[in-house]
Order: sequence, then structure tokens, then C-alpha cells
Amino acid sequence: MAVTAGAPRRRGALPFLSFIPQGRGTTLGIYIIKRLLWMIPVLFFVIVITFFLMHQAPGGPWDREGRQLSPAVIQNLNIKYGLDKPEWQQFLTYISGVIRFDFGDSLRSPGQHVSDLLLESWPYTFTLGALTFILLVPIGIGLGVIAALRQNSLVDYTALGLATAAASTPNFVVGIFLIILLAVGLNRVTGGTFYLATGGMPQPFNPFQPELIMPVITLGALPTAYIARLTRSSTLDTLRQDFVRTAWAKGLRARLVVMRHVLKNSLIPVVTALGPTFAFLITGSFIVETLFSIPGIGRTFVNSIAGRDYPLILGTTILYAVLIAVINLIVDVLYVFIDPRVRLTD
Amino acid sequence: MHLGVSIRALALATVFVVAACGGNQGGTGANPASPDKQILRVNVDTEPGTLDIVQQQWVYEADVGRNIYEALTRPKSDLSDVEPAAAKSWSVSSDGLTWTFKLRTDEKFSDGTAVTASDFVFAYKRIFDPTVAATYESYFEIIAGGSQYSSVDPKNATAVKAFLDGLGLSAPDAQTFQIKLSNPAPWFKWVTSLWLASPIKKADVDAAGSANYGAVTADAVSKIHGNGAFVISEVVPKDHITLVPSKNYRTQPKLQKVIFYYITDGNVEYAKFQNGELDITRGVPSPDVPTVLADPKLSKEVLRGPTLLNWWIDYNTTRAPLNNADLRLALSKSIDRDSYIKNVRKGIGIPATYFIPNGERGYAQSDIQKYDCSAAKQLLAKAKAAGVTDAQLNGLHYEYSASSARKSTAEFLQQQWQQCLGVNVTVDAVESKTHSRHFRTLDYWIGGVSGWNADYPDPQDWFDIFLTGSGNQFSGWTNKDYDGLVNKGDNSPNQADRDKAYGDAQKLLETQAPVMFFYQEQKFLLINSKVKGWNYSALDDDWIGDVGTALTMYIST
Repeated sequence: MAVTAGAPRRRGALPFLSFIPQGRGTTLGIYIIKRLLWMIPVLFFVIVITFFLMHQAPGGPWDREGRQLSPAVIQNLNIKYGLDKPEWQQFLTYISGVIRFDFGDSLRSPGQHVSDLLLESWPYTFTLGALTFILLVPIGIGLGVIAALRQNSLVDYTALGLATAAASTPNFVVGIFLIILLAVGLNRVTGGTFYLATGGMPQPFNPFQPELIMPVITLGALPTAYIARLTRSSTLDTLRQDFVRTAWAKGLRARLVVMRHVLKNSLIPVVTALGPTFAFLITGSFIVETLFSIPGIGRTFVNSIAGRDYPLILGTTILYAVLIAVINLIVDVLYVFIDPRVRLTD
Repeated sequence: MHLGVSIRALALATVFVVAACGGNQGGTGANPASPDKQILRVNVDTEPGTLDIVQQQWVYEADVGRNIYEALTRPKSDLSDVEPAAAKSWSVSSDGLTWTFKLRTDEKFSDGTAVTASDFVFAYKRIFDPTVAATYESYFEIIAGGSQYSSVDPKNATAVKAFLDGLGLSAPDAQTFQIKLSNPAPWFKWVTSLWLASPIKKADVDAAGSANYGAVTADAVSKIHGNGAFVISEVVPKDHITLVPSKNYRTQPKLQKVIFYYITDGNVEYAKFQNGELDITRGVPSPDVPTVLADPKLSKEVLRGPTLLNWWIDYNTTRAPLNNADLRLALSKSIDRDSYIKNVRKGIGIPATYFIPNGERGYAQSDIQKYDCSAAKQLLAKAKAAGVTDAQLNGLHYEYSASSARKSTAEFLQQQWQQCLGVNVTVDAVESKTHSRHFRTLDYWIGGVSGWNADYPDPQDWFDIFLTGSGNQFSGWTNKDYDGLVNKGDNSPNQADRDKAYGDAQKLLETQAPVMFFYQEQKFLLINSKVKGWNYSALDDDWIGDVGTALTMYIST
């Protein structure tokens, strides 16, 4: 294993968990359960904050520019959706609903459950985000490592230049640029024989579809650049460590030095960053989803806030909180495998 | 809102129509393409919140609803009157209170069941049902008993039922639908042409449950049965909805499919049109207007025409110094609308100093608020003599709902006021909901842009906006003379008297300037040259199939 310090290798009392390094099976199991249980107060806190903040925001679901609703209709709408009750009572009703997995009805779409709306849109966002992530990891890390190994060479400058350009261009610019280039532009140039369609409904859970090409590039440009730059600097740091020098001195082959000694250590901060990156990708981007007509959850969330669709705001926030909590947990557990120095404690 | 008591003449006076919507037709000469190519792809911007016709309130909802349902009447394409739709004829009693509609005998829902008068009674009652809380309810309060709406407690089922049963709605026989009004209102004919005044199949509502009926879900295809020319064949949530001709409608359209997409970004919409992925757009992004006009192909696919939508800037007349009418008029006369349309809006729009839009009865060109800097300066001097101070003037704020288009409008206004009057107005961008709350609670100085889109082409729809206490004016303006004139206009039996009263009210409104009239909206959109048979009307909302329906449209070879 790693060259650095750590507890001596020993197998624990639970043979079925023996794949876990350092024999921390029981600790890990208890740790995961504890973390999952901790999610309950965390979610409660998220709901409390979101609930009262959104009611604090000026304006309500029936406020609008232009043509106004009559006071009688507003009153009836409030009664219909329980908004006529005091806030604490609405809060208790909501919490008791959440316990029964009832997240209420959307105010903007009468008769539609929030849970249905979320389950409807999240698969699109997840497909797009997961695909982006799968492509981002090798490209980002690969570019970063190559740039670090060939520091100050043309390769380095090119990789770094690309990353800087990608990181500093807003995604709505990237998106529109791609549409003009690959959709309208290719259409014009090829006389309509070959081009990417601007729209077209992507299929959930199917990564192999041309509709996803432009959104994946738009969504992935910034995080890929970020990961590449992070990998580069982390790898440069590691390359200057004593143990790497020792490895070179031992006369190990370059491949072995890089793969076994350098990468293993330089990737620890990258893994830390990949967790939130993954969370960012699968929670959806309003801009990317709007540009490419993807009926995903990023759009749902932003529109629900703009429309003060209270139940939908809360439902989306809860979903986000769960996703992020779970991803953080996964990253923490992954550390145990990547970095033997890490011990999971409460 | 249309709650004003109205005792207008029953004899429908010749309706004055400006030929504003002429020349905007798709032509019908070309050969239609084969049926498999009869697919029309349009954009309605946003997914309808509901498919329950009585709860539809937004343009993007009615765009779809109008094609699935059919009301008693519909506006004629020249907007001079209504014409029969689901009703084949109607008569009005001599006291003007009882309207009797005879339904077509061949009117059917998309599942083949006949539409009867009781389906209309059911739907009209649903508009008033406080547990449904349909937002366009107030338009129907002229129906006898309707004004009780605000006093019914939705939690009291008995009271709700008593209220609904007490409404002036009845079905003496299967083909006769009778409506009793609380006051004779000749303009009620227009109300019967609104999209939401369509019949609903009670069995559909019962099957889904009143609260869930109309949900925009994939299974809506089998749950919603309208009486319109089209029927829903596919609902893909958040992406599109597809309509196909209803086999049970009395005539069959050439179009075999109409697909409504929900594309919010104007640049994307424009790209899709250029790519042949969309047949009709909602507009053209402002910066691309010159490109479109210069493009040999695109310039031929432009549809340009007036709409019955006017924009204005609101003054909070309850707050000093804007309680001074001379100051308001001075501010209104210091804006060069021509320059605004030319420079900020790239030529799209009609500079307006009038209230009633061009293309509707009651339109009158007016110089009262016309751009005239020296007159504005004199008015300002008068206001200052009456006590308006420089400190007050330079403390003025212009508030708008944040968006890039409105930012350039705000900056234009700011620069014009500075240039002509030397008044420094601070510009504030606020989020839309906050802005509307500020408007409603009169917590602002100057704000905009606000506007009104005609529900139907009768001046009553417009003049009621500025009545004292109307929820649709944000100026806090109260003027007894205006109220008197509008009541006269709304109630006079004689059409000439009505026109005179409305004309005087309009002059008063322009002089008192609770708002600054700014510009009339103009439609500027792209329509594929292969799409034929359409007929543009100034009353069309978002796409051209609203008044001249998709029934006549087709794709040519």
C-alpha cells in the first residue's frame, strides 16, 4: 500500500468485510448508519430554513405583473392550497406530510403532486449529469496529469489554455456558440444533410444519443477545466515529494512511478473535489436545460422559485439535500479505500 | 375586470373596425403536401399549468385549450363581432337579461358523446366553483347570482352548492343553454367567446376528481375530452404536447398534427426556426431583427402586425410629488417614443400616446401626451410653482422587473427625463414578484412597463382598468369624472353616447396622466413559407392560430 504512515495492516473480526482495508468493517458499518440517521435532523433543518425563508421572500404565488387576480379568487386559492392558515400550522401540516412521503401539490400545476413532478424531471438531469461526469473524470484528470508531467511544455500550455478558456466562458455563451456552430452552422454548410438538432427530447438513462452531445459539452466544460487544473497542481506537488524522488532513484520505470506513487497520492484532493462536482452535475443546470430544452430538475427548481410555488421549492430542496448528503457520505467512505491514513470517527 | 354595471343597447350598433389586421394572410392557393407532412410545429414558451379549460389563464395555456375546446361563439377574424361556434344561434330577451343559445346538434366531445346544454351548465358552474378557484371568474360575474362569489365560503359544501345552483344558468332542453344576467350587457357576447367558456364532460371530472382533473400528465390523453377540432394525442411533460384532429368534430382540418413546444429562450427558438425544427416562432430576438430583415429568405417569412396590447408607465399618484398632474404630464411629454421604438426596440412596436390600441373600436390618435420638450418644461415650471421641489424630483425612482430588455427601457427613460427636464431619476431593478407586490401596495414612485392585452375588442375591457379601486391599475388614481364617464360608456343604450363618453374619458385619462402611454405592441415573428391558410388577427395572443384557428392551416408542397 501507500508509502506514508498508517496503522499496521490487520484483518478484523468480520471476515465478510475483509475487503475493507485496516479491518474497520464494524466501524464503517456503524459510521454509515450513523451518518444516515444524521440526515434526518439535517433534512429537518433544511426544511425549516427553506420553509421560513421562502415565505419571507416578498411576493406570493398569486402576485403577478399586469392583469391581477380578484381578491375573492386569491382568497379561494389560498384556502384551496391551505395558504390561509398561519405559517406555523402550514409548517406542521407540511412536516406531517413529509413523514408520510407526501410532498403536496404544485401551486402552478393544479392536480400534480410534487413528488411526481420531481420523479418526472430528475431522470433527465441525472442522465445528463452522470454522462458528463463519466466523460469528465478521465478527460479532466488525464489533461491535468499530462500537463503536470510535461510542465511548461507546449502540451502544458495548450491544456492549461483550454482549461482557462473553458473555466472563464459562461455556459450560456458556450451553449449558444455550440448551437450556432454545430446546429445552425453545420446545417447551412452541409445544406441540411448533417447537423445536430437544437432540440429533441433526450431519453432518460440512455447515454448514447446525439441530443446529449451539445448539452454535455456545455455542462462539462467548466468542471472539466476545474478538475484538470486541480489535478495538475496536485500532481506537480506530489512530483516534488521525497518519496517520488526515491522512486526515481530506485530506478523504477516511469510508468510505475507515475501510476503507483504519484497518481495515488495526487488524486486525493481531486477525489475530494469530484464529490461536489458530481452533486453539481446531477442537480441540474437551469441554463443548460433551458438552452437545450431538457425537461430537467434545474429548470423546475428555478421556475418554482420565480413562481413562488412553495411545495415545489421545498420538494426540490429536499431532493437536493438528500442527494448532496448521500454523495458526501460516499466520498467520505471512499477515502477509507484511497487514503489509509483516514479513519472514520464520529 | 368587468364588474361595471352595464345597461347597453341590445341592438348591436355597427362595429367600427380599423383595417389593422388586413394583409396578413398565409394564402390558400398552394397545393397541400401529403398527409404525413401535415405537421405544424409551434412554440408556446411554457408548459400549460393545467388542461382544465376553466382554470386556464395564461396565453400559453389558452393556445392549447382553444384548439381542444370550443366555446359558444368565437370572434370573427375582422374582430367586428362574434360568430357561431358551438352554438348555432342565439337570441336575447327584450329586457336584455336572458340569453338563449341553441347548440349545434352535431357538436360532439372527442369520444363521440354529444355535447348538451348541461355540459355548458356544468362548465360555467365550474368557473364559479370557489373550491376550483378559476382565475378568470370575475369576467363572468355579470351572470345573475355571480356577484355573490366573494361571499361564499369554499369550506362550506352546502353554501357552495346553493351558490352554484342559484346562478342564472339553465338547460331547458339538451340543445338550449340559457344564461340570465344581472344587468343587460351587450358585451357579454364577447365573454361567451373566451376560451374558458367551453363545455366540460362531467364524467371526466368525476373520474379524475375535481382537484386532479386537467393535470398535465402523460395519461391526460385518455382523461380529457374536449369538443374542439383537435384532441390531445401525446403529453410529454415539460417538453411538448401533440394534438391531432378530432374525428368527432364537424369538419376535418388538413393538418394531421400540431405540436406545441415549450421553448423559453428566444435565441434557441430562432436557431430552431432556422434549422427547420420549428414552423412558427413567438418572436425574433431584438438584436437579430436587422439580420432577419436583411436576409433574403428570412425576410420573406416575417409576419408583422399590430396586436391589441398597449404598454404604459405607471406613476404612483398617491405619493408626492407625483400627486401633481402637471408633473406627471410633464414627465409623459418628455419621452421621445419614436426614438425609443427605433433605437431600443429595433423598430418593432408602434409609438403610442393613446389608450385604446389601434385596431379596436375607440382608438383615437392623441397629442395630449405627445413628445414635446418645451411644453414639458412649461408644465414642470407650473408644477414647481405649485410646490414641487427639486429635492423631490431628484428623489424619484423608476422601478422595473429585472430583465435585460427592460433595463435598456429604464435607461432610455432615465436619459430622456434627464435630457429634457434635467430630472435625475434613479433606476431600480427588482425581481418580478417583488415588483408586482410593490405595485399592488403602491410602494414605488414610477414603474413599468405595464400593459393590457385585450380579452375581447370592446372598449369596456379597457376603460374599467382605471376605475376607482380597480385591481388592475397601479397608480392609486381616483377621478370621479372619469368614473362617471366610464359608467356612462358602459351603460348607455346608445352606441354614439357610449363612444362619446369613452372618448371624453380617454382625453381625461391622458390629461390627468396617472400613466404615461408608451407604445403598442407589434407582432414580429417568423412563419415558415410552407405554412399556408392562416389568417392573422390583432386579437391573436401568442401564435396565429388563436382567432383564425389551425383548422384552416396546412403545409404546402
